[in-house]
Amino acid sequence: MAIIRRRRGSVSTTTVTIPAMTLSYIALFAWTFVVLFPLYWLAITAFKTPLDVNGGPFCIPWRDFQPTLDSWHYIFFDLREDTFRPYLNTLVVGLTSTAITVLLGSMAAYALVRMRYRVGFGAIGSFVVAVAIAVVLLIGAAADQTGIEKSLRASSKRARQLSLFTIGCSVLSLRIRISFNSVWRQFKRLRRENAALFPKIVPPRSSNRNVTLPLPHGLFCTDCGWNGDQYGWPR
Amino acid sequence: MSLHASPRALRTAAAWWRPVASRLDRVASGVFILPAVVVILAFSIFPLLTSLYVSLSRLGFSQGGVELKFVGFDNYRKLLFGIDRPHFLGVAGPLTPIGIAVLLAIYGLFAYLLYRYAFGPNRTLGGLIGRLLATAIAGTLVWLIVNTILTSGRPGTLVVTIVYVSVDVAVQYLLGLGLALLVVQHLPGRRFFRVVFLLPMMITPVGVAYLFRMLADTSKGPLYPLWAHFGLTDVSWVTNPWGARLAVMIGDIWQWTPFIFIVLLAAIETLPHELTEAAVVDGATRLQVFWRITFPQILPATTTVVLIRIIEGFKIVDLPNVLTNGGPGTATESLTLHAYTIWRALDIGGSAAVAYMLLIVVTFVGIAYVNLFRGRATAAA
Repeated sequence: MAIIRRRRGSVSTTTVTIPAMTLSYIALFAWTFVVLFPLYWLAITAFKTPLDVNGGPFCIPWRDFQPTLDSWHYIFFDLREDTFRPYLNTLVVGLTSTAITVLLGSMAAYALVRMRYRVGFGAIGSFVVAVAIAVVLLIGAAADQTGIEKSLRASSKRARQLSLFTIGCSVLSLRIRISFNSVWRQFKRLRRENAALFPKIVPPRSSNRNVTLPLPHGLFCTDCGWNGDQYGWPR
Repeated sequence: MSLHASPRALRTAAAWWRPVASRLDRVASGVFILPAVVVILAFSIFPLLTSLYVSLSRLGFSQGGVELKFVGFDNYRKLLFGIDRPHFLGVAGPLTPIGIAVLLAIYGLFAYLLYRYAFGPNRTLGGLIGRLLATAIAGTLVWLIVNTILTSGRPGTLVVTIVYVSVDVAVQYLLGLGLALLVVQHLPGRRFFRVVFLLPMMITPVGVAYLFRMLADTSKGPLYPLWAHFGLTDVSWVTNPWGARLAVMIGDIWQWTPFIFIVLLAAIETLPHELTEAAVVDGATRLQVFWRITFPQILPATTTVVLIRIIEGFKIVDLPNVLTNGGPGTATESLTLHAYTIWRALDIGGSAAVAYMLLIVVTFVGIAYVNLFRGRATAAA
């Protein structure tokens, strides 16, 4: 056994034999070369003049070409502000977004793990109102950007239609949920009483599942697809 | 100064604090979750609805500015059946015997899987409908891929993106897993390798694209001696469609293998040693230890990291944009770059429609992947 050695009565799975170690090092150094060579090329290119860059493959400094700090001087002194501004932007955006994401994400994750939430009428109503407001804002913003009265009027009309459509869908989904819940409660009661109601239609695992709310569930799935989250996907 | 409070003061403070604490407890659930909900509404739902509306509109110039004209599904029709179809879906050629064989093999596999599920013990009505739907969509995608790649046709941006994702994620996973298994051994200097292997992930994709643009240059790049040895200095491999796609894929594999490597390394390092030691004592070979113990235990991490890479892979834009500018022609354009190029041409509605098609494809692939693989992987672990 290559990876095992008995030492003072104990078993070690971490010791590596010489041939295995050699092969491992060959593979590791090969990938190290694959990783480092492009970076080396990037680094030496930073010390070349445009003539050296376009003149042919010059690989070794002081032999193939004379390293120069011209490029660095150009970005830090000639361009100066045009270099530091993007750097600062990156720093600010990176740190701020990370901080906000970690804060909000950890709060939400903690809450979802430790607290129980029920999607009630208030939450659904708030959601519907928020979506409707978002739609109105969206159309308003689009109309505002165009700066055309005609567009504004048409968009406002569209906004009303879309808002009504959204609210209609939500109310419909709410009604579906209420109906489903009612049916579900009756079905569970009948199952408790061992009544044979549609035994072939109802899937065996479905007794562990909740009837889902069509609209929020769909939006949640869409959002999860958008964000790469997996928890909203139906199983 | 003494900090001791009198019992009466403490009782008063407690009496004052109790209702406040109780109220805080009641509102805590909302306070914790609401900021995230508001952010999701503002930055996910709102842009989602915005782009949906824009995808159903056409930007037109008019007196004093521009206007968004509602055109229904015209943008989608244009992509799937109209003038943009060759760009988006590609051009199908006559099927070759190889193409027919591949199609038959894949459709046969789909049929077998469906049959096995339909007559298996765990079937459900929802599961069957979901699988039928997934099979229909996957079958269409396979037909599209075979008809544009294995024929004299030309793949569109949808197929090119699927090729990028499939090849990139597969190679990245194999390399990342292999490197993780090598580094997890107790070798001298393994910390050095661990740090070095992470370096590509820290470079901006635009930088990587410029880097590979230099490396791919056969006359001035560092690999010139190699090309000269094979007499290929006059050949620009990024002018060949598959050569250019290969260059993009190599760049992506180089950059994102470290991500899979570090996740799998963390997963392997946290595995308990007892099982491995017991297997070794029982005489298991190294390969058996890997297949029977290590691999099943890292499956949850594997499926998660692959899912993340699939979703990220579908959004590839920097590398083809900078490295080949989508060319030659539109050979290396990904879906995101497609959306970007037609956005630059001020076809905002068409751009949003492409973005929505991408969202639909990613959602379908993600859901199918999670349902077909992740549940089983977690159960197996």
